Amino acid sequence: MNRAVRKFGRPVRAVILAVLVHVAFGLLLGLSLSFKPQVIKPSIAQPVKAIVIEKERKKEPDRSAIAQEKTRKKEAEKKRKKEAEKKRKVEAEKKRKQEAEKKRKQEAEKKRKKEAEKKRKKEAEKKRKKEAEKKRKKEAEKKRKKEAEKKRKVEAEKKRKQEAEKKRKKEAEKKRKAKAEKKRKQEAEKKRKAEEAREQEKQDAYSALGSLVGAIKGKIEGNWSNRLACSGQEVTISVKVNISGEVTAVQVVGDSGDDACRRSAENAVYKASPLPFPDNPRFFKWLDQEFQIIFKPDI
Amino acid sequence: MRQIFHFSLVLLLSVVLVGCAANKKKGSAEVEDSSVNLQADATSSGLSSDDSGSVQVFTTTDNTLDLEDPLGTRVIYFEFDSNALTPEAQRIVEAHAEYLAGNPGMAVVLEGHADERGTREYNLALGERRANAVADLFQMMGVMSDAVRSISYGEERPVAMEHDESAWSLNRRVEILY
Amino acid sequence: MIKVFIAGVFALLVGLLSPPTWAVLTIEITEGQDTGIPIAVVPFHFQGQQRPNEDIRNIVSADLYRSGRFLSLPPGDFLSRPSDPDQVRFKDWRLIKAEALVIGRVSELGNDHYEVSFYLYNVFKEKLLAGYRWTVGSSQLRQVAHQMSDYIYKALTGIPGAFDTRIAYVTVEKDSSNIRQYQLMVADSDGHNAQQILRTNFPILSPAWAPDGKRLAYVSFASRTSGAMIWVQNVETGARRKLLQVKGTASAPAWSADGRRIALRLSRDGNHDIYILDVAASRLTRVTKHPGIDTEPAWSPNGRYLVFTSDRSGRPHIYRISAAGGPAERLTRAGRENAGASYSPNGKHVVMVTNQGNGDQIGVFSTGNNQVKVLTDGPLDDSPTYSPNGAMIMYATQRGNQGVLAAVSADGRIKQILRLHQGEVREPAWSSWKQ
Repeated sequence: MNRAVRKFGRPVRAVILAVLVHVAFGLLLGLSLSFKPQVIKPSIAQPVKAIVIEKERKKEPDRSAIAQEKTRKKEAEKKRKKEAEKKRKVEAEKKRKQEAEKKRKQEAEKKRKKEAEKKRKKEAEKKRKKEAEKKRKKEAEKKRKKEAEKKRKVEAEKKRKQEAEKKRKKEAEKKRKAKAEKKRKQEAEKKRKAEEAREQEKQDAYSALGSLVGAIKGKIEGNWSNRLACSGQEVTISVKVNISGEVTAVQVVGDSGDDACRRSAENAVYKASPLPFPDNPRFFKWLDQEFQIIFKPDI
Repeated sequence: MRQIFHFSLVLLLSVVLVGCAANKKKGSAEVEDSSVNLQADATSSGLSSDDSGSVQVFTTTDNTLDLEDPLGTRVIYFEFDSNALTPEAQRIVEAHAEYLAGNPGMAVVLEGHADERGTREYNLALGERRANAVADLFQMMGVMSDAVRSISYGEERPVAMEHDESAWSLNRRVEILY
Repeated sequence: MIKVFIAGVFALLVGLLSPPTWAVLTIEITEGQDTGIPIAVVPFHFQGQQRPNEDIRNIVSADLYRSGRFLSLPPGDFLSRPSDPDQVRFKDWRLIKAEALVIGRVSELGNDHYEVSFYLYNVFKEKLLAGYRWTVGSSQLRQVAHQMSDYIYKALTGIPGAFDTRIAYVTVEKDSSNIRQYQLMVADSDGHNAQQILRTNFPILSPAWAPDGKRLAYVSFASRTSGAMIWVQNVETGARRKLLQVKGTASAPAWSADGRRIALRLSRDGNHDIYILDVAASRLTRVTKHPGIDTEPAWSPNGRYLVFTSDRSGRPHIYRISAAGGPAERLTRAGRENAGASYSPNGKHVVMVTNQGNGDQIGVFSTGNNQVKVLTDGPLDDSPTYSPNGAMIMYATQRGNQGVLAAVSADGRIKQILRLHQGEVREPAWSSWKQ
């Protein structure tokens, strides 16, 4: 771009600029054409009043043919003169341009030389710098290598230590885990045993109660003095006992049984108190203190 | 002398009769000894002391005491729950029927009885059935119906008080009472 | 017992195997002591100068015991002897396992009158169940005691008591001339206060109470040549008359529940058949007509049917017929013989004399299934009669070769002999409630 500027000078520059502008506009146009058409809301179309301009112009110059010729000649002269001037100007311009070009060339040469020198100096400097740099780099490299070596050693050491540490840690971890595992197992074992013991206790409680069911039945039967009252009927009694087996609550459940039957059943339970019941507190907590008795005589 | 002899004979006969009466035990009477039976066992048939009737005692004026004579038998016996006349009973009843038919002035009461088993009302009816069975045979043999009265005491007047078949068989009877 | 235990353990296991919300432990009780309700009747407190002859407490205790439903606890075991509500300490009665408590007082009012009062308690619930007071002359004290027994019985069993009722029965004694004397007697249901209604040399059978409790019909003989006849006698006045004048014999009277009709047996045409007499109209209607013996009619409580004895099948059995007549339906199949039937007061059962091979026993069958339950031992049991509440059956039996009366509870569990008389006793008839 700079070379082109030096050769042709300002007008060329202007032309180029103009071309660029046109190109730019052309591009813009092209680009705008490549866009999707915008939706434009149609406005109410107004009829355009066409103005015929061409017809009016044609009407004006038609006064006289002479005047017309005069003017034509004047015009041609003018034109000629203009042309000559133009040519002269162009020549002058051309010359000027040539001169300017020469000067410019000289200048440019000077500049170029200066530039070259500058460049050479620069290059030399660059080279020197480069050398220095190289040296420095070498040194640095050396140092670096040393350092690296040191570092590497340290690293290696570190690593070795780390490894050792890791190993040790691992070992420790293993040990710890093993210990924890053992503990966990122990705990689990303990828990299981406790659970088992609880379960066993519960089973014992139930079996204690189970072994007493016969005795409970026997005692209530021994006190049911009036079975006849429930002949052909049945009645259910809900009974609550405390740990000593004493009856703390007696309640008829449901609708069955007439008054005499219910009374006979209630009285059987009252008189049978205290009922045989597991009195070990370990068992008692497992057992429902409330149970039901169905009185249903086989008569 | 003849008077003394006759008197002695009568005395002897009386003694024999009374002796027999004294020796007779209730409940052990044999069927042939029925005349004495009737006299002594007055309570069971209500002959001796009741409010209304007078006592009637049968005496064998025209026959000597003949144990083989069916007419001397005043009781006939029955099987359990039955009012059917056994052949033996029939023989006795026919004898009495003949006698009654031939003696229109005589009247007889037939007393039916039953043993204690079963209910009293049923036995009352059963006794009446038994008496009627005898009365029917009487009628068949020409005895006038108004000469015969049939009644029943059911199990109420037993002759034997024990609770066994030997007593019961004695209580299942019809007594022919003149 | 083992069965019972296994059942209990099974119930327990079922409870254990249930999901988290397991079922409540349930125990089934089927056996019992059947001693009857243990009741403590405390000797009554007497206030006054002259104690009455009758011990109310003892009469009540004996009534309750005789019913078979109660166990009267001996006063020797009592820890206290309250006679007023504020003296009652329920703990004393719980300790001796009394389920019910009776306390009472007798106060002399002068002029041979007394005030009697009692209270009845449910011991374990500490609850007053009944309390009554009477003011009576000394001659009515036994009746008061029986009424008290009726209240107690009703409160504790739900069934009306039948202690304040009367019985009629026949006795036989040999007089000084060794002749059988028959007596028709009326007494309290416990045999006390016996009164002679009739005395005769002739047999007396089949006493039957009129529903109003004022008259008795019975069978006897007018003379030694007349057969059985029915009389009706007013118990209070002694006035009596022959029920009918018929050819043949009449016996087995039975009053309908409304007292308007008497069913009976006649042998008018030589046949023993059932008839019904409309008392007011004096109209006889024949019900059965059969050559066999038909006798012993008894009314259903609703008055629509008669059960009776008939040997039309060859041996005596129980039949049923509409009171309006018609076909007779045989009710008893089992047993050699069945006779003397009568309905229970609620019409659901029939009691009778049955021979199942062990002599004459008292048996009961339900009108539903005709299956006979034998209640007594026999071998010479007769004349069953229901108490008006259907809870007991009185009947005639033999003890030590002598005729006596006994009472058995309707389910056959409790039997008691009634000590009534020196001689033979038979033919009981239990009156309805006093009206």
